[in-house]
Amino acid sequence: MRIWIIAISVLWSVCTVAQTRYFDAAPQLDDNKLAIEFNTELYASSNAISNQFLYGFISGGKISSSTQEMMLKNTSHKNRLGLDFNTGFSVHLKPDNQNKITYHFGVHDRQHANASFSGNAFKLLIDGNKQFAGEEIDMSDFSFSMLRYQQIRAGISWKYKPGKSFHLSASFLNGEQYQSAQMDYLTLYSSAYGDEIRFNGGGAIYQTDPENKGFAKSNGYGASIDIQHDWELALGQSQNGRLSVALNDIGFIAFDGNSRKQEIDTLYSFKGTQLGNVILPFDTSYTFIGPDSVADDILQKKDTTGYNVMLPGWFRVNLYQQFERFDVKAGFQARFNASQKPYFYVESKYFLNEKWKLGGILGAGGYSNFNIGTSVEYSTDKITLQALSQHLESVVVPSRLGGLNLQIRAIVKI
Amino acid sequence: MLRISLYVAIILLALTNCRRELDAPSWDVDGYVPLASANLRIQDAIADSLKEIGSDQEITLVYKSNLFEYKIDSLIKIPDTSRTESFSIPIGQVNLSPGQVFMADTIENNLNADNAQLRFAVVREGIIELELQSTMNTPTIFTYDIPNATKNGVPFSFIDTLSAGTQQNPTTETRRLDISDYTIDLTGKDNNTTNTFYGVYEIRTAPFGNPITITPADFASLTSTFTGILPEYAKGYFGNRTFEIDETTETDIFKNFKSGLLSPAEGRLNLRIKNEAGVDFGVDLKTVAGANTNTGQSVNLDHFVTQNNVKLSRSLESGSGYPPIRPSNYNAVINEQNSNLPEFIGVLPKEFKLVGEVELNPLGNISSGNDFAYFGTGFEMNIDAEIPLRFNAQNLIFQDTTEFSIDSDSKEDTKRINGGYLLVHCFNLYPIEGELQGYFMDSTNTIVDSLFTEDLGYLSGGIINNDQNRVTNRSESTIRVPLTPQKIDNLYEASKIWFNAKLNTTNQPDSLTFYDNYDLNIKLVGDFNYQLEADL
Repeated sequence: MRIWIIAISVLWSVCTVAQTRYFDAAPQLDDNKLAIEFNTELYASSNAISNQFLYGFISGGKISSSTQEMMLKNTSHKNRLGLDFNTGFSVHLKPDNQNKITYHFGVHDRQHANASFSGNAFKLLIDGNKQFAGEEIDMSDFSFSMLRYQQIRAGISWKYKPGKSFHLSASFLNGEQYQSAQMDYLTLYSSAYGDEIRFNGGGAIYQTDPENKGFAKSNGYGASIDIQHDWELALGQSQNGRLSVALNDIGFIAFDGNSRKQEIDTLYSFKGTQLGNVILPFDTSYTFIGPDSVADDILQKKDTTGYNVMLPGWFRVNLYQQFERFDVKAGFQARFNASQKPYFYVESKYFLNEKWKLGGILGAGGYSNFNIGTSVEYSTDKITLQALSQHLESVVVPSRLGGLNLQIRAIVKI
Repeated sequence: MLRISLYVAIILLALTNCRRELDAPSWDVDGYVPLASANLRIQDAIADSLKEIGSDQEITLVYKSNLFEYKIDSLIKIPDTSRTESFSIPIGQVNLSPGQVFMADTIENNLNADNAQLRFAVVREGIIELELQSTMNTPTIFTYDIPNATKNGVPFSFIDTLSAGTQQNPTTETRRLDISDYTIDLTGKDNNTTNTFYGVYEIRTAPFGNPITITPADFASLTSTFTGILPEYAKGYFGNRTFEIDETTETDIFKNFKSGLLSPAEGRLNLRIKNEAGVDFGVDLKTVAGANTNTGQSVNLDHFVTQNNVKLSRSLESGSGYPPIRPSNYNAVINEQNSNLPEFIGVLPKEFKLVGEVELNPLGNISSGNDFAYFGTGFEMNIDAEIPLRFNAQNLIFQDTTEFSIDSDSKEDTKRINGGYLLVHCFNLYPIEGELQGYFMDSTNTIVDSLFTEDLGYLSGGIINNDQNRVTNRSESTIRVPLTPQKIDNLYEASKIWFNAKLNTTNQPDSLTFYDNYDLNIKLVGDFNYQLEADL
């Protein structure tokens, strides 16, 4: 996944992404019968992890201590991280004798990672346990999940009344990979002298078959639907307007019985090797216990079992209005099964000429606290190219803010 | 559009090919890592057999050892003796008829007891070996009796018939006869001498044989050999003799204390001399020394017993047990009031040296030949020590070596340590302060590194609670050891730690009592800057 993030970084100067825009409306096929769409987006955003840290994480090697320090100043009591990487092709087909119906077929590769963690957990991870000597820190409600699946989607758009249209699609899902850690409670005590580390945690860790990893490998199957309704609005002559309400990615994946599950209900105390009375003869093998070894000690019980995972679905509302030289789009997104906060945004594009549009984006919420973005669009009767980024603010202040976003969308109408 | 998609695909493909060259992302964290904890109890280094714990948990060192002993089997030695009686005619011929005695006599054997004049003995072990030889052309009967050697009231008697021999091939026979448990009167045939018993022998032709004629070439002989005579009991005058004492006895009571000066507040040595023999002893202890082989220091005990001869009277034969004796004892109680005991113990002796003389019957034969001794009894000198662990210590060096190894699997974790400190937290209940050092040694006992590189670690002492006159709260001290990757590598080479503590009670005005609940708790904590690596 890092490689894909690198790709985004390379193209960063051109454009960027944050709250996913993968479900933007299908292209209008007014006079065309067929449209082929390529769409890819990367979205990585967090209210805690800075871009500078993220760059270091992506490029590998040592991340500087100044990067750590600056990032930790931004830490909140509750923190979140979201990653989405979606790539796909869609075909939109309007039958010859039908002006009201459009069929859609698509193949997509979908990846999503979500994390929720306390400020203490983040400080512990980034700066170690020494700062908490003599304290018991609460890191409860920690969660992390990473899901990758392939989607084959078929749908229909039906303009059942003038100014009203309904969109429905159903998808078959191939569950490629899933990892998740959900901690109901999690505390860590480091004694004042550092002679004891006590971990108290309860939760579960899920992981699909680690031997069966790779693009399009299957560890389970699922299904999902997308529903959307549009109301056309006419606030002025020759000025299109639209209100859309949508539910996306409502579905699940049933991972098969080769998947792993580890339940954690552990009070683990580590005091180092007990040497007894060192002035008496003894013969002991001393083992240095590093963080990885502690984790191995805690995660001992493993079961192989199947389970169902609900997709991180969306509820989206947006209002679009086109004016003579510009348009405005404002909306709201909420995501289920994720730690993302409700996201509100407004976007406006200025029409430079008939082909070029240049836009700006302001948003609040989501995985970050706020975002500022930009978009550019080149459009002819046959081709539409869009590039968009919603996180320019993190590019400007990479040591304190975190967000990477790029969406590229290309549509060819035939 | 297709062209653009192709460009994107090429860029992504190129980036994907770079993937294997990327290092895993990592960053540094500051962590406290518990490494080890240990409990150091000096008193545990003293074997349970060498200490007693009182009701108030006070510790007393106890030590019992035999310094010197002299047993009766060393005192009265009876050497092997041999004597041959032989018969032959000088010239001519002699006719011997059947049943004719041709040789008979009474002979006395002297046991040659070493400087002793024994009148009476009970044999614990011993053999009479009789060698019979004859050239007589008829069976010959040998008889040998010891009238004053009896067992269960029956005198020792031997008779054997030797078959006929020739001048060319004399008949020879050797008989070994056990004389254990025989009681022997050693005053001779006329009861007027010592160390002497007599035997009566006779050699004759067999009554059932033929008459024979013997010439000067014929002979008959009887050789009696007394061998391995060990008395169970002996009586007589054991003589006036002097034995040198030069004994060294090792002790492990202070085994782990290598050097330094320990000043015990009090103590008691009990020098016990026991005489189980019926003979007087004079004891002249010229030197009783405690020597520390580590430091070369030695202190002579200065006490009455080392300044004067001690006369130890004989034991008495009485009682119903066995041996039926009532030993004579001499006890010398040695303490800090009547001796230089604190200095004697303070040298932390690894061995006791005893030099002197023991004189037997210093007043001569005052028992009129009635000295006696039983086997296994004799003269012995023992020492009992009771030393309450209450002392002042100056530069008391306490050392021990212990084996350990670090699991090589840990290397993967430890190589991520950038640096930091090894924190040695000490929680001390002992009212002693001092300096600590530990040396890491490899399998060849070569020191590869030391725990403290720059300065020795300072250990603060527990503070006496004046109300209870003992330490109730631990002192806390932390020693910081700079830790480098090189030192970590050295730890992997090590297979032993040699602990070295120099302890002092110099800040305490009085001698301090050490209680069994005292300990020094040590916690080793890594204060590491650690490179955390994200394994993607």
